[in-house]
Amino acid sequence: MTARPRTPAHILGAAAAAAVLTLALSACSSAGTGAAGSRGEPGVTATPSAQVTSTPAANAKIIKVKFTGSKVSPDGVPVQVTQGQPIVLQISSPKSGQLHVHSSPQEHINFPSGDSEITLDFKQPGVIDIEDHALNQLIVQLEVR
Amino acid sequence: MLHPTARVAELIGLHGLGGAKDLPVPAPFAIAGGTAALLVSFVILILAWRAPRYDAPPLAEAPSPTDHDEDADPLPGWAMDPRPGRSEDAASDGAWNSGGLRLPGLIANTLDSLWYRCVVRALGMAFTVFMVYVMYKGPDLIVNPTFGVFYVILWVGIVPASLLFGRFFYAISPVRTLFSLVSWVLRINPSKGVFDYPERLGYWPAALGLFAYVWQELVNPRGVYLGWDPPHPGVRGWLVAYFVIMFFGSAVFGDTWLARADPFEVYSSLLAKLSPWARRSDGDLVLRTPLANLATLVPRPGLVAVVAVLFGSTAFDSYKDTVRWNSVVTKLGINLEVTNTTALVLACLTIGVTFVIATKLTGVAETGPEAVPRRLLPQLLAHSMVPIIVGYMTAHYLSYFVEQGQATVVQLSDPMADGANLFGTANWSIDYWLSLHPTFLASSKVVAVVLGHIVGATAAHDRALRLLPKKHQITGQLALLVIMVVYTGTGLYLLFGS
Repeated sequence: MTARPRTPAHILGAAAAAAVLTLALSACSSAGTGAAGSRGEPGVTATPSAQVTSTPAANAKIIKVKFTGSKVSPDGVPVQVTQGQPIVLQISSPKSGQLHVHSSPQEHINFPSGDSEITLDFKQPGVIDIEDHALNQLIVQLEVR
Repeated sequence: MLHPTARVAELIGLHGLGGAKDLPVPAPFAIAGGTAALLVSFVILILAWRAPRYDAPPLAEAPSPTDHDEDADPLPGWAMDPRPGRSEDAASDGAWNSGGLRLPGLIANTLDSLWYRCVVRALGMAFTVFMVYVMYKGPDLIVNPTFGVFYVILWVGIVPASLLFGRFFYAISPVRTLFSLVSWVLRINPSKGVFDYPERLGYWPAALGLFAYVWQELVNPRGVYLGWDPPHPGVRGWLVAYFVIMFFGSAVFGDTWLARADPFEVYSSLLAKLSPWARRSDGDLVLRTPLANLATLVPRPGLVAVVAVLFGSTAFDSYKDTVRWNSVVTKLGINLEVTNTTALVLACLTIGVTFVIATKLTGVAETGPEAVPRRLLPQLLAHSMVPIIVGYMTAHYLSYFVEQGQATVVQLSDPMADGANLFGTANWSIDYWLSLHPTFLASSKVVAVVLGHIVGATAAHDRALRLLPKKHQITGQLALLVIMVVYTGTGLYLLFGS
């Protein structure tokens, strides 16, 4: 089959087809949904320190996370841990919030205002970032060996 | 939700898609070993590889070898694609793109048959239609498979798919299929646009498209959202823009536009030059060694920009996740997006500029039949960057592809996150074997990077033997060798985690 040369009508037709398709596609593209929060990953909640009864295990790695205003300390330090070693996050914050744990799969940790604590452990080697998404700040980078 | 007051814009992911990253490779061992391997292989090349073995493109002032190159794939295009005819001047022995082992007639005829092309295109279209549905109707959650398909299956999967099957994206490209269909319905020739594609633009539109992709993946705070948050496009907005630009571009310039501007097609076709599949200039499908195939890559303006974006963005991605970069960002205290965009541009520019300088630092024959314009040297040697890119993509994405890829296959069965199991994969558990064997993983990464550089150095050496006059053949390669050693060392240092 030999194609006929392009005529203005053909070009118009192609443009019209493309325009219809484009409109159909972009019509519903504007809805910026995206609720704040977990977006589908599993989550855990830190326990208020007053309700914590057990003391951390002897081999536990204790990381103190302190929020003050728009800052958090530490703000991006590497921490080396071994597989299965308990990691105790002791969180102190004037308001409640959420940490993001970039493990596989990803997780988030909800924490209340005041002091709270949560124990994590990772069974798989890798580099795992723990971040605060509201501040957009890396807190610690765990190197699990 | 514990803080409903938090604005969506504040919940910016520091990462693209993905969870844990790999442990760093032990650096001193890797860097010393890698650079030494490259130097040793260069010496061996100088001593043992004294005559060029592969093609070099014919040097018209503006390189414009045959258009048959566009059909050099085992998964050819739509019915309307003209099968390259046997031209009189092609296929004489030793001519450009004439080598290779012919495929048996049955296989070649099947791969070229209308029904085979249509089946492959129909599969590509079916998957696209499914994904468009998921993208519009699925929830804007991280578990929506759109993200995994966009960032893992498409972007990373395109590498093994193109290395194994040739011009993979060309064969399935939904834009190409739609454009061919519309052309067929309107009875117009898809390869003839309103205007001829301006050849001096070369691959520049694709370089821009690839940059838009890596920006979306690595910088855009809406990178893991579907919907947009003005002015930041989500994945849906990005894809709509991609579709519109590609479709209208084809209407204006014909489907040459897709071969020069579609970032995925250009990337895939570039990688396909390292596959064993090729179409000779006389139109026959042939098998070739990857190095011989690579030498038939048609140099065009913008080719260096394409490889610089691919390579530079991977380097930036490695560095961006380090504690060191995090502290730089914190100290600078400027808007994260501005910082990251600047760094991404600088990374790509650094690769592009160093490569251009290194390839031009040689003596050339200025006059006579052997004359090579110095300004063409970067694009004539750019094919040597392709194996290097494959090496880094492998090192950077191996575990990500295997593990996030599995997660995506699981998510594809339940795209609405409502407990469905459409393809029976929803209950699969993800095999983390690679992550659980960090030594094996680390060694694989080092091997991939070093192997990529050795293959790249070989391709560059062979091309240098063709392009450079005898007295400059060795010294003319030194600058390129130095830059490759620097790339290897830096790359391995970045993999070490700096």
